Amino acid sequence: MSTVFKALSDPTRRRVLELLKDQPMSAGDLASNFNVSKPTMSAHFAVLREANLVSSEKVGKSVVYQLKMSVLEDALLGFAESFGWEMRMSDESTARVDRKEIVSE
Amino acid sequence: MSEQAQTFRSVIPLLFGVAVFMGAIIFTAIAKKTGQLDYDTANRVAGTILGLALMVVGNFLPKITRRLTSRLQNSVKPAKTERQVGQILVLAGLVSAALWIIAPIDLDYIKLLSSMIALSALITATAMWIRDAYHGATQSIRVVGDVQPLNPLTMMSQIILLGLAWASLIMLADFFWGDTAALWLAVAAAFVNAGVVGFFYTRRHI
Repeated sequence: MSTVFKALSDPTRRRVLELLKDQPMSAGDLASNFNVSKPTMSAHFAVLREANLVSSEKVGKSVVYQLKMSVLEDALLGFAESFGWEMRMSDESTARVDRKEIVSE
Repeated sequence: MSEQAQTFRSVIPLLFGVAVFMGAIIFTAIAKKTGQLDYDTANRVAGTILGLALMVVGNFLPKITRRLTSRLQNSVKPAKTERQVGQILVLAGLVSAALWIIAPIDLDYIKLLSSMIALSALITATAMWIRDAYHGATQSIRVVGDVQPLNPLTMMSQIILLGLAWASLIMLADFFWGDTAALWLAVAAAFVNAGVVGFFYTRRHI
């Protein structure tokens, strides 16, 4: 459950979930909605997959994500949206990617 | 891990949940028979358990993902429906469980009310599924090979929902025609269950 809270605590990831509510989307299409680098985006996807909120599948050449949220998790997403949960990204995977980016820039 | 093993692993929590609920209901029935629980309390406990079961299955439904088809558009509608169905079932389960917990002494009307709520939610869910199946069918005629294999998790949750619908029917029968009708419905359910299990068992071994 804590992985779910962690996944829902970031606005970008919440936005990803909102986008996926309309339809399954490929990683590229999802990333084009954000002003974030590709590695950061895939770290976000990894956190979401870890929390079992999305599932990924290869369709043709691209990886397509689809929503995998229970009703309770959906409600938690709503709460997180309306109260603006915002923990400073503490998950290491994202932090590591951020650091790498700074170095490469 | 092979795909089959993975599917099996994801069924385990559901199986466990079903076993717990069944155990709780049977335990209540035994406690009632041996006189440890009076009629009202036993009814209350059983009704609450059924409401909770509806909530759990409804909560779980949208989490069952389908294999995406080559045409993504085919996967959109079922996923949305599953989410709405889940919400409807959770809400209905919550209301009927709450009704049973805080019911006043006149329990008979609660029986009517909560089983009607559960049944109407299940009928709505079925209607939505049928609508989707029709939608899917009309689309996959055009694209052969997009037919989705039946997901064992989906099948299992639908069997559980069918069981819950039957339980609500038993409650209704109990309200309208008394104990005997309810008993016969329960016996019929047992026979149907035995028949279905037997059918699948023999099919597998032929």
